[in-house]
Amino acid sequence: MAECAWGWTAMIDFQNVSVAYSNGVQALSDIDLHFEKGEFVFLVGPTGTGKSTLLKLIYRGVLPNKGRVTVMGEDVTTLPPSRVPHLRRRLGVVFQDFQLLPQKTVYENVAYALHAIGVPYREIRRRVCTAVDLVGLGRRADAYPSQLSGGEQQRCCIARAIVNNPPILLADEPTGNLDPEMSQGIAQLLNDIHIRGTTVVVASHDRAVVNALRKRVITLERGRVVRDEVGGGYSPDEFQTP
Amino acid sequence: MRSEGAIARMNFRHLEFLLHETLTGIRRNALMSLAAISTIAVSLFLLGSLRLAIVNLEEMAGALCGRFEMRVFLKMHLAADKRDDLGKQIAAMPGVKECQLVRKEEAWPELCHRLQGTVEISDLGGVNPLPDAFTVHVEDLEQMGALADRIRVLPGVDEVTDTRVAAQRMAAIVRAIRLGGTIAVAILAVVAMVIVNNTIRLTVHARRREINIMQLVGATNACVRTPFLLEGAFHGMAGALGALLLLAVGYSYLHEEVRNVVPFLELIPPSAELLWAQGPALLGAGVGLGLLASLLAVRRYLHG
Repeated sequence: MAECAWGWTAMIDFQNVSVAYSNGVQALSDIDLHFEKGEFVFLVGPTGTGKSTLLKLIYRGVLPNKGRVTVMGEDVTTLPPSRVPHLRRRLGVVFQDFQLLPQKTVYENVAYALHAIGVPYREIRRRVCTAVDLVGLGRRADAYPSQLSGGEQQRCCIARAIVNNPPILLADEPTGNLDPEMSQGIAQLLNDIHIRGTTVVVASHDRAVVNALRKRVITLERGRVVRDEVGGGYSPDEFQTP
Repeated sequence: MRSEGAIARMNFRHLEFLLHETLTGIRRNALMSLAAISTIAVSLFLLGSLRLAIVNLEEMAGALCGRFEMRVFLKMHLAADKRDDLGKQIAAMPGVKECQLVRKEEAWPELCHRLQGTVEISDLGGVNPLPDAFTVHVEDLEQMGALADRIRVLPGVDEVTDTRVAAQRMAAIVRAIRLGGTIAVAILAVVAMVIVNNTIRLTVHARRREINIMQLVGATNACVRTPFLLEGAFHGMAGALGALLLLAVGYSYLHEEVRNVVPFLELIPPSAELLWAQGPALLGAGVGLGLLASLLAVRRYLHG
């Protein structure tokens, strides 16, 4: 599937998608979006506006109540549960809270993802070293998460997300827990990964990061798309950041 | 299709990874694991004891039913001519195949020999306490009860041991023990399952971050679940081995005690074969119980 999927121009496609949670919250309403192969997209907007839900739809963390989500030519909404792991192997996901295993080193954290999907040991070594070097943690591969700064922990999380060479990288508030200087470093790293051909979707309300990269910016407000601008910025008066 | 093949290969290749994850789970919840293993061990020990008790009782009942004979004990000091008349009278009864005299002089040394080393015979002061007796073989086990009743009222007869009644009683005891034991074992099995289930839930909870990461990077559900199932199976196996050990020690001790205290009750002697015979049942029950309990825990917590 992966090979033929590259033939699709729309890497990620939302058609008339609505999501309502069981507690009655309408997270997304009538979303129609197309992300092209190799695009870098920022999802911006205040907290609780549906950015994370949009990302979850892509990796099948939630199912829409209405509409269709297509990822690399595959309809994610009708995907049988047994196929979900195959979808996720072609996606990398980065979180605000890093989700690292505290009792494993940087190397082991990145390798864990590959162990879990059954990559041979020799292959794991090669791929982990490449990923750890790429995020600039080559010298800290034997450190534990508690010995790392926030920025380094996020780099480790990014290394884990890209170690499988996924065509798509999703990041949910990757700089949410970092100071501005570290945030710029992470933004640059995401851009480097994008330049290598990966489609990158980042949910963020970090103005500095969004404005520094000048990519396609999609603004969400109360579950609806209110702005979709290529090379856009994130003006200070647009939202009151919580 | 290529990826399906990769998954199949993965299961084999990554046994080491899965075993490592299993051991991490057991180590992290060592105390709860111990509780789960002990509970399984106690329930399986009870199951094993029940099986041994039934095997023994069935052996006794079988030995009794197999003998188409009864013992007719005569009154003490009955004159020899009266005794012989009585013998002829019994032999002439319909349904009696054979009536054999067992002289007290013959019976006593035999009994002494059987009880050797367990009862101090010299305490009796060299007096033979046994009466003369007849061994009466019957043609049909069904008639034994009625025949015993008729012989019992003959003059000179003191007591008739009717093995048919004894066998029936034995069968009733076996039935009662089987029923009571099964209920007790079932209750304990449920308790053991609840504890294993809880242990696995704790492990799942303690490892939710690993599980989350595994699911996000595309580990198959089988891969995510296997360590927990292995953990449950391990609890079951360790519990079964513990139960077998307890049984081996307990049964040897019981056999020795019974031989000393109630020598006429003949238990099957403890042997490796007797215990081995319990092995597959206990191991199967233990592993099955552990697997089932963890499967229920994992199904509930790792949905999707």
